[in-house]
Amino acid sequence: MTDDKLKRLKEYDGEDKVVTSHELKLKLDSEKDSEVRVISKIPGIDRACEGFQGGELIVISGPTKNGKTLLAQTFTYNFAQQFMFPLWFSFEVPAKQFLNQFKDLPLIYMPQKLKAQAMDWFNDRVQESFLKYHTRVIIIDHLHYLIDLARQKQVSIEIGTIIRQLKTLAVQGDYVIFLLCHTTKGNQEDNLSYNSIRDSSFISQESDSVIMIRRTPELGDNTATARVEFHRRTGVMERFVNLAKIDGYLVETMGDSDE
Amino acid sequence: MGLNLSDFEKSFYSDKELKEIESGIVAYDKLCTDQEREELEYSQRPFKTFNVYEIFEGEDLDTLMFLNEEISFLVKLREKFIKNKDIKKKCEHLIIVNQVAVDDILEDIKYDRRQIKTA
Repeated sequence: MTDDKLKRLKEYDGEDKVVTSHELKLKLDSEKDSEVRVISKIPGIDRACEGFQGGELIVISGPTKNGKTLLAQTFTYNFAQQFMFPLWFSFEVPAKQFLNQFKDLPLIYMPQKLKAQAMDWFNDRVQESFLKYHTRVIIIDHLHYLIDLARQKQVSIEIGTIIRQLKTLAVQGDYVIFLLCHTTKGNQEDNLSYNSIRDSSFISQESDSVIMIRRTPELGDNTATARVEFHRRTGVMERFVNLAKIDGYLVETMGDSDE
Repeated sequence: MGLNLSDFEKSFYSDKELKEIESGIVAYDKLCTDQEREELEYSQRPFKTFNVYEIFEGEDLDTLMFLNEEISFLVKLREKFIKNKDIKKKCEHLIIVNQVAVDDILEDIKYDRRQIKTA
């Protein structure tokens, strides 16, 4: 390293300069915290997550046909009651079918036409929705429509890249992003956990929280269990919540939910 | 009708200018005649119910767009003044009012479209 460069580095005063922990904490304390806060209105999940905040990436996972979309739709309905109207990317279910699934269609926003495997397009739609409608909550159903599985040799790494992009988007835009993902395991597996999420460990590593949902026919018709696997902010691990589908949405039921 | 000026008035213009004025008068007269004929034809055409409902539908869709813009603005305002309980509550109230208006407009649009179909 030349003397010149050493001198420049010693005097460096850019916004990314190295500072002490105390200086950084003072600076961060003076900045505004995210004002974006919303709760699921499912008490067990809200106790575990203490609501959802801007800058967070929440993964909802579970076996196929076990209630992931229904949980996301329940969140959507409850968010709308708190005047937070989400932007939905419903890749898996056609738009007409998706909208008909709501008992009372809440106000949400959706692209008129979808484009899969196009992160640039996705970013533009998120920004457009924020500028037009001030949307702060984004729901993606589901992750595997954002990547081209056929063309990728290393799917896991590609997924990791996408997850990091989503997390960066959430932080920079102060959005709450819900990402639905499938698991590798079937309905009957008992040891379902965030390690079961299909294709990449990056998903659970990079997200702020993972909520697994699975049907529980042994507990009755239209019942399921949601498990908050972990939450980075609250430190919660493996919190169970029993749910039942009532009037088209999931509600918490009394049972062996964790306190 | 043609140019109707006295000799004294005509003396203010050159021949070229007089010709331009006269051709302008002729063109204007033709324009008026054409407009009158179109208005007469329009007033005499048979009344079609679906035309009215198409107009209503168009207006209702415009209103819907306006209401949704209002809701977006109120959401933004609510977030900006989230710590001010008074403003927050007023924004929420107005959002609900607009949502009710949206529901009403959606019913109107459905009605308009039914009328268009059956007309």
